[in-house]
Amino acid sequence: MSTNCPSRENWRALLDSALPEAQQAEMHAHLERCRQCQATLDALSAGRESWVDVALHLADPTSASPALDNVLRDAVEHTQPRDTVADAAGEFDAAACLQRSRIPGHLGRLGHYEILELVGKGGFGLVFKARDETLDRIVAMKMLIPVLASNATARRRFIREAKAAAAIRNDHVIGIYAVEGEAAIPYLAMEFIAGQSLQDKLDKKGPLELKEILRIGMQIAHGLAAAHAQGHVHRDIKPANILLENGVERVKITDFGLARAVDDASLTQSGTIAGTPMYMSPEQAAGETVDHRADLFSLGSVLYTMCTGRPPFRASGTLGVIKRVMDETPRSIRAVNPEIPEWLEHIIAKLHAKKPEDRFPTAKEVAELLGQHLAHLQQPEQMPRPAPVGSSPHAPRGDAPVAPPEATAQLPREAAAHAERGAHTWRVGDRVLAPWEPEWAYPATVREINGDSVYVWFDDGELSWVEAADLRPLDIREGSRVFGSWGFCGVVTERDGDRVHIAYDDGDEEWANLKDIYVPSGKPPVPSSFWKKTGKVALVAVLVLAFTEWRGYTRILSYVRSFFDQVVTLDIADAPLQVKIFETKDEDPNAKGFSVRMRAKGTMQFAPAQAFTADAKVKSLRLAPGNYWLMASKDGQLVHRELIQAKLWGESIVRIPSSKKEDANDAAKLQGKWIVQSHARQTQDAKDIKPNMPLDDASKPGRIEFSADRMRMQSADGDVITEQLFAIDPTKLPKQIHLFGVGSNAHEVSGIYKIDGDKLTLCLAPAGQPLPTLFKAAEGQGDVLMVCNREAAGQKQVKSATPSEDLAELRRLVALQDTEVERMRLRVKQGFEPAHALVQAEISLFEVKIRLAEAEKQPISDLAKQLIQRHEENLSLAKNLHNAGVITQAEVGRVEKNLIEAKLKYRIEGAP
Amino acid sequence: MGDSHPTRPSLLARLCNHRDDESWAQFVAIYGPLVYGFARKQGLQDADAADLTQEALRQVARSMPDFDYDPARGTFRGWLFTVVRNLLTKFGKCLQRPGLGAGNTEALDRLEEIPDSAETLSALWEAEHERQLYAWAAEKVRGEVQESTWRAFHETAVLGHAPAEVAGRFGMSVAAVYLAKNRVMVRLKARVRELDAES
Repeated sequence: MSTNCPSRENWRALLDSALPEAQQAEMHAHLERCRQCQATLDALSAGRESWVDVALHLADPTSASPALDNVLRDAVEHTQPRDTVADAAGEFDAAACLQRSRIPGHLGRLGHYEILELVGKGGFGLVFKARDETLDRIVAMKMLIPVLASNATARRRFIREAKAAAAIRNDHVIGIYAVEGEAAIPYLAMEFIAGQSLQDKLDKKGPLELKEILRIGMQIAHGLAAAHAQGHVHRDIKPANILLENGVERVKITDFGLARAVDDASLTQSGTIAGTPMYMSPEQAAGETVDHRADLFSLGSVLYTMCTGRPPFRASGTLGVIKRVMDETPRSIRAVNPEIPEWLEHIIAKLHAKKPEDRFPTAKEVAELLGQHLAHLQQPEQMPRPAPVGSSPHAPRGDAPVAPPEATAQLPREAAAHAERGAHTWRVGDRVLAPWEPEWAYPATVREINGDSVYVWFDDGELSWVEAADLRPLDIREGSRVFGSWGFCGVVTERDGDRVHIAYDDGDEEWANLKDIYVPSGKPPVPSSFWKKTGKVALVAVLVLAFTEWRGYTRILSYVRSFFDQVVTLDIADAPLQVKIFETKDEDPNAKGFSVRMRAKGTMQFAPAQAFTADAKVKSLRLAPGNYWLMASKDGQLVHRELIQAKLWGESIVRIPSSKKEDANDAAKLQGKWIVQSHARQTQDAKDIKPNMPLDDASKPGRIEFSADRMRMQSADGDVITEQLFAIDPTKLPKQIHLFGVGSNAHEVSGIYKIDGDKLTLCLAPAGQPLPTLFKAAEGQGDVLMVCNREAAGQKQVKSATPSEDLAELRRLVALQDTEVERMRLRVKQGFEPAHALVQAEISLFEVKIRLAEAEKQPISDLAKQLIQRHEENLSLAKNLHNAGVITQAEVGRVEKNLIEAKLKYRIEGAP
Repeated sequence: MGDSHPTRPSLLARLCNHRDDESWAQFVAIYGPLVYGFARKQGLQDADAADLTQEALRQVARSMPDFDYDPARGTFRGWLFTVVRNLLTKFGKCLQRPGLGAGNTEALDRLEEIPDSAETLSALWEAEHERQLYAWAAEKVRGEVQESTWRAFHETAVLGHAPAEVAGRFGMSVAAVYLAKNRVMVRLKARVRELDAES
């Protein structure tokens, strides 16, 4: 420090503004030029770490969130920390809010209303029975409870309800007489309906009679039609909101608390899911904009409940329900209540279409249709039976996997038989399988023959001319594989005249009429040219479940090779059990998946797998545990490949949008990236894990059963997921299967599967147990069937290592990480990984080497130097990325923090 | 920066014993954004994170009357973290690498260390808490100084621009920039310390 510079005390004083003016000016002037003093000042106010902290924390502010602001404001507005509306409602103090009534026994008065008694709680208010003194009639009064009356949002909603309901005049919508929105206690006076809600009725009676269902459904639909005509969507149609007037059982739709005019967007709180999930439509559950068709979905759910006595989408929690609403199809109605006719099931299925455009267009149409059916039931001779609703039987049921048409395996046999029949003579009255769609054939009867053409009458009523050569004898019997309602594949277990009992692959079962089933038409799908035809950028994922020993993998290799016109080297340890290929098209956000089943002979079959969209938040695919190669192909060329891991059954691939700009030099870069997320929700502490514990499925515990060609997971409450496997020789089933998860958090599925006969149970390893120990335990315990990609497991294992004193262990870790570094070096060279991935791997390597050296009581200074050198390299790479706009300053700060910490750590220990 | 500072008993004591509005408001102002920020970092979208925050605040409010603040049994922050963690699983999110699923870039994913243990997740929470303290302190300090002073501080200390450049851009002297930067820093540190201090 030069002698001209003021002392530190002086600078300190300047900071505290504790100096006389003249001196300040002098110091200012000095500060302007003197770098040393500038640095001194910086050091005085805060240490280096603090500067880093400040940059770190303040550079990355939480972006403005109106939703959060609302939440915080609401939280504070409730003058005392208050819980739910219900609690608040419980504190409604009639005496405080109402004027005193002259009549004993009454609750009080409000204006010209005499409040008689409380009849219920709903929405944001309480409902009372009251007498309107001026008009001398009984009314229902809905009042906003005092605590919420002071909440502007609640008040606005309340008034909105009134407006909505008041605008609708219909026999089936509860009438509004008056509304007072500005008073201290806002209230709403409406029709008083003596009767019970549909929910009450269902609770008492269970499923209803068909005529009643139609009657009630029709009236609800009429009421909805009136609401929709006024531009209102109810948004909360559910049995509790359907009142049934005593005596006539006339339907009155009530509680428009959540309704809003389609154009009134301003009052809706962003992101809040309004409404009861169980009857909600998928678009509502997803928080998307809804229109009147959302009410139709809810109507479908109400009809379902009337048919079966229970709601269609049930789960243990709100989010479980929402997930089901969005992704799954409810159990077949007729499976629960066989009295319900198919046509009603079809109507409900159409109302339950996940996409609004697939439902009925208007409530009016539904009302009319139900009315027609009701009329026909009541007077079968006079009223005609309405035309059947064309529910497409092969629409996939939500995202549930469509099992591969196993019948395809029968194809060779049937195709051969088919060829023979080229000259077959059909006769009128023959029962046949006739093609209707290009891929499917349905049961039919021959009605007329004209040369090569045959006029057939399909069992479900359609008529058509078909080529004689395309017909097959109707040979549906026990053991036949067929497609039943909603596109599910199953096996016929019993045939009784025109009815068959089907056991579906997913465990569901039903009695179906022949006219409701169909089979593949006999023309195999053409997969191999598919990719070439589309010529679009395709996202391709290949599922790789490791096998230690698998015959015929060379055939897979060559098949995959022809797909991508590129060599894809699969290590024998990576030989796949199943190959799943998914495609996403550029302009079409829907991605389709195809599942390829391996057969010992090397043939591959294609079957449509579950469809999913590229929308990040909605769809996902269930995967079997294992490693996935994520590949992208373009015009049949493989352009990108990376490895991802699925840890648990039910793990899903979710697509996240990429915010990275497309690399202009590499036109084939992916639009988005797929990550694997675990469905598992429960965090299990080590002490909770017991041997032979059942496997935790997405939301419920269950068991895995392993048979010759299937892996079947059954959850405790009966839901079943079946995955078809490669055909395994049952005599060669191993005694134990080791499946190593490669996740490192508590959901890890590392453990030992025990096979007993054909049952497979998972014993979870205690959390935190390092994988090498499990490997060791596995040795000598029997044949090993499955093992995850060892190198990936090894890499993970290093990162999650609990400090281990065991030298042999450490050495092994070092070896593993060394391999990983080499692997990374190669991948960086190949361009599959960015440079800092290698540096990261090297950092891990040096960290573990240092631990080993410490355990061996060796000096670590050299290693420490190399480690710090890598950290510095990492930092410089990070800065480059920051300059390129790829990462934020905060991230650079984090990397710098690691460097600083490493420097501090290793300067203290070891040599200078 | 390493040590975890226990939540000031005074705020909690006030909340538990008196349930006065002001301490509740202060609590919401500090811990609301903390929960929100943490939820966002775990990959929740804005609306979901706000919902989670609301749920968490509700739980706190519900527990307040019975909450027996005993420093020996663990920090309030730790308890709140448990609440948040449970809510996260309810919201369908596994605790995961920060930034994953939030649309971060592939490069970022690589840079992040994969958190492996409960300790690391807890460290993430603590880090978020730290961040929230700074954010809150920054808001306060910003209100106490002139806008030009704050700007000078922000440009240099937070954004990392050279003081000379900042001086040129805003028409200030280099000295003024340095003074602004350091004075704000001193105040900021004092505020953060204050928030953290045991009563």
